Amino acid sequence: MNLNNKHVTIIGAGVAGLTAACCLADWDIHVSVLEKTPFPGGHAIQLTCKATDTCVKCGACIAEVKLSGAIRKPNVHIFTGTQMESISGQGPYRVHYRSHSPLVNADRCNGCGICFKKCPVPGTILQGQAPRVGPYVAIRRDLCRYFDNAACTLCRDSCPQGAIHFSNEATAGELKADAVLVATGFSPYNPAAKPYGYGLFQNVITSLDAERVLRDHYLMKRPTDGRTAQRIAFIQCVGSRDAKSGHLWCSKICCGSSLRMARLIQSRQENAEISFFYIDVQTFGKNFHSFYKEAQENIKMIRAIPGDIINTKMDELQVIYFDPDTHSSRDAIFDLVVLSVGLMPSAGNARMAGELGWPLDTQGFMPPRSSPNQPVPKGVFTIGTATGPMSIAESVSSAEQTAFEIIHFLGER
Amino acid sequence: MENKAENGVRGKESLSAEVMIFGDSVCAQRIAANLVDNGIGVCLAAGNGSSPASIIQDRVQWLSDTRLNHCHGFAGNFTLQIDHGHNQLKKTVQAIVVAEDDSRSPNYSQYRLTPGLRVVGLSDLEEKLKHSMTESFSGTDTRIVLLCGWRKDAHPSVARRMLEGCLQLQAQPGVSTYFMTGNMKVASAGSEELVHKAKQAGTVFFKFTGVFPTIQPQENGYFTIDYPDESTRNTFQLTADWVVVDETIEPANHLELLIQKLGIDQDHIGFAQSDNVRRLSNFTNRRGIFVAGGSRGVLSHAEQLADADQVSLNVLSFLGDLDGEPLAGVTIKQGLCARCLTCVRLCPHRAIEVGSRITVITEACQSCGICTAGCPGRAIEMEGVHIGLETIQRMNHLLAITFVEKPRIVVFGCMRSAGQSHTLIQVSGQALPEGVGFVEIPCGGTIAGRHLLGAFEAGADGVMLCICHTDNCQSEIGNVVARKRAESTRDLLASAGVETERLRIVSLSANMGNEFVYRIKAFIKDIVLLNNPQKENKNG
Ligand SMILES: Cc1cc2nc3c(=O)[nH]c(=O)nc-3n(C[C@H](O)[C@H](O)[C@H](O)COP(=O)(O)OP(=O)(O)OC[C@H]3O[C@@H](n4cnc5c(N)ncnc54)[C@H](O)[C@@H]3O)c2cc1C
Ligand code: SF4
Ligand code: SF4
Repeated sequence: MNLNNKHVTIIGAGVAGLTAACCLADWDIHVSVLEKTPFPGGHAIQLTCKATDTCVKCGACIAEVKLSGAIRKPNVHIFTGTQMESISGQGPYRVHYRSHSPLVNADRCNGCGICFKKCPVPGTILQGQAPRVGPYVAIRRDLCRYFDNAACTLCRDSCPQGAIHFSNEATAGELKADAVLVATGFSPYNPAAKPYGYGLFQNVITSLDAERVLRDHYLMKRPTDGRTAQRIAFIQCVGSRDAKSGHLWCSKICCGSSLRMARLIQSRQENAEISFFYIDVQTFGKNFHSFYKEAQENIKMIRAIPGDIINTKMDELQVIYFDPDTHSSRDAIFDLVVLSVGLMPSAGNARMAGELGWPLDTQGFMPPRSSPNQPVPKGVFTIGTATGPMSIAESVSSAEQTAFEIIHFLGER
Repeated sequence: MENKAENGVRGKESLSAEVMIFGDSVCAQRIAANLVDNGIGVCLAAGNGSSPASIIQDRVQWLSDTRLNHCHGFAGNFTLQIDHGHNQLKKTVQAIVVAEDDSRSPNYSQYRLTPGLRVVGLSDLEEKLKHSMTESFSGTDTRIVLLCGWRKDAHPSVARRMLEGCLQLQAQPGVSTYFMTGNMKVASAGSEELVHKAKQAGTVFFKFTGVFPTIQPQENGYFTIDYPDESTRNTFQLTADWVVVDETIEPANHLELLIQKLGIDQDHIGFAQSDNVRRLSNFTNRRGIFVAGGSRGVLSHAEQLADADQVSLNVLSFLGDLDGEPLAGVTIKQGLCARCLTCVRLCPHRAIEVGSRITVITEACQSCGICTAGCPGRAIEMEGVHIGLETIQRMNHLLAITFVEKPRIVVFGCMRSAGQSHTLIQVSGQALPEGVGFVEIPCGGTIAGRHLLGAFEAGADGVMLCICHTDNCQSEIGNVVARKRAESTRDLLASAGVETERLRIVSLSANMGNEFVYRIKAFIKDIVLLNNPQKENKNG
């Protein structure tokens, strides 16, 4: 099959999009991957390895493998800082995009980190996670004060390499696409609406925050004082399995991910006391039974979802819950609370779906082509967590399977 | 009977089979259809399987009543000896796919039940529902209790099927359903929504945490169930007309034999793929042998069909690559080879052929180098890899450094884990601490004791060997043999009067830049103390 005159545009460079890019490129197809953030890799590249000495099959390292695989292929082009604007044609399509020029020149930046220290708005300057891809440092336009009436140029002025260049320049471009693949992933749930004080109490963090803390600091440090947290609570199903919010799905990965994280913390901080608040523990991986048994022996498992969290005068967190054992309201004190946030439909799904003429499912995800009763446009495909919550391994599977469908589709035309 | 005379091969005898598929599962049949659609000749060995679905009927060679006897050869050129009825068949194929169905058994004993008239397994229930044989269930006030994952958690795909069955039963006239479970498994797509629907339809759910109900069969064939109510902490009783039990999904019995004959790795449950993320999704330790569907794990029906597409892509890509460039060459110098067969035993990818000479088959070799380090005669060479030389070069740089405060450290690290983490440090503008030389190796298994000792001889104060975490080695055992070899090197060091603490083994993954530095710094600290014991006394 000769497909070397075919073009596929993939939207989203998460583990799903990158896996599909690798598969398609193997068939000499020209692949363009549009990624709206400055970094490829999506959520999975931000996760920490949870192996103690033995790999616990969390799959995080696979994101690294897929990314380095994709960048090695000459016929894969990853456009970072790029969003799809619109799409025209009936297939082959024309995909119109806008690329923002990166604010940090990757060739000049040596990663010294001075800009991080100078920036007055936390979280504006981001660090990449992946080796062998630039840029390593990026600035978020939406938070940077320069783009809010040119108020601040501290980082630019302090950069010894002269690598920072503020510009609002964006280039528009167009790609021919014989097929379009949507791999825009998920949005993590924002728990501000829950009674857990997220955003109010700094020591209440999300599981995604916790991944980064462990990756950067090795130990579970508290945001307020940098102390290593000793008593830690994990609260499951934050935003998932939440009929009140209309979220009738289980996010699948949080139980496994958080229990593994808890055991990782215990392997690094011998005396860490961990409580795990849950509704039901979900299976993950082939070794679930033995892992779960071990977790139950070392972690206090409480089958209840807390109702409230209070920040005490001592800067501790008081968690109030209905104790199923004593059948009464109880509270417990922790140094840090980790909220296992669910996988929500990506914030841009409605717009994307409208642009592509792809009906969303009742929950707001973009279901795969194979779902029943889907009148879907020809040559458009969806994969990964854009279609519903799934793990990294499942995202890889869904990408490989859909790549087969795409190759079949392109071969027939 | 006629077929039998033709060796049972139905369909086009003339088709040359390029791919052999084991199994007659829906997954196997779909793979066959996919491959023939792409012009690939397929032979399907169906074990005791029935006849093929019509879509592939006359396009594949279908062999029933088969048993694999032997598998010779390598990726691109396997020769299979198959018992076929009373005959023996020989097939030469380029690739093999193992796609046997899983095996399913109802969990009677988990609920202390014995099979009986009014105890139904999940698969039986589905059969009945499929053929609308539900009269027996309906009637006035029929109570059906579904038992799911009590002492042993149910697989999410099984729990999902239990929920589907429950909803269908609840819809029968006069039926009330009760769903009794431990952890309610809802991690299969759509399950949470099914729970919601079932509740709305009237199903009553009970969840138990540590104490489970007791079920007593009655003389009239019904059951009484005494259950603890977790919110009121009382015990209640329910009578049931029927109970439905969930099931356990396991590898098929005959999979074991196939695994042995094909020389592929197995997970601890018995599926034909090791539980290693590097095998995702359909790969085995042997190039050219793939595994799919119920042979690689517990997959739902939809997942099995998806798996078929996925593996088809992998097989097609593999066949396309056969003419491509092989990896770095590993060669055995015939003059030095003593035919001890150590390499054959060691090679996790089964890439070494024993013939009149011992040779590495390039198509099957994955360049881990485990054999090069293991060969007692040092007869095996790997193109472009010169660990000893590189170590000495690194050491020459380091020798200018004072050894007491800033010890000289050689770090050997696998390119898939420590190598990636090292790059991560470099791009983030950090450098390894002064006095550290990093030598990237293809796999932990490429390191022999002599490389470790060589580093000490060249003047290293400490040597750190970084391998992948257990169960995360691309070559399955590279990290295991590395550990063993390092441990015996420790013994040698001890007998030479060198502190064994100077050789450290550390496991890392590809995304551990910060941890990599952290571990090296900790090691340096310990070596400083070893170099200067007085300091310890002063401090302590
Ligand atoms: C806290 C946490 C822990 C987890 N732990 C585990 C675990 O242990 N094991 C596991 O298997 N899984 C885990 N997961 C799940 C895992 O992160 C996902 O399975 C995986 O990231 C899905 O990959 P994806 O490519 O589908 O989506 P994403 O990772 O979300 O990638 C989508 C990409 O598309 C980009 N994008 C979105 N919209 C657009 C647009 N309009 N234009 C251009 N680009 C766009 C995004 O910027 C992003 O880079 C965890 C998730 C979380 C939140
Ligand atoms: S799968 Fe997870 S635990 Fe295992 S090595 Fe990779 S990142 Fe670490
Ligand atoms: S290098 Fe590895 S794969 Fe190749 S022959 Fe040696 S042991 Fe086998």
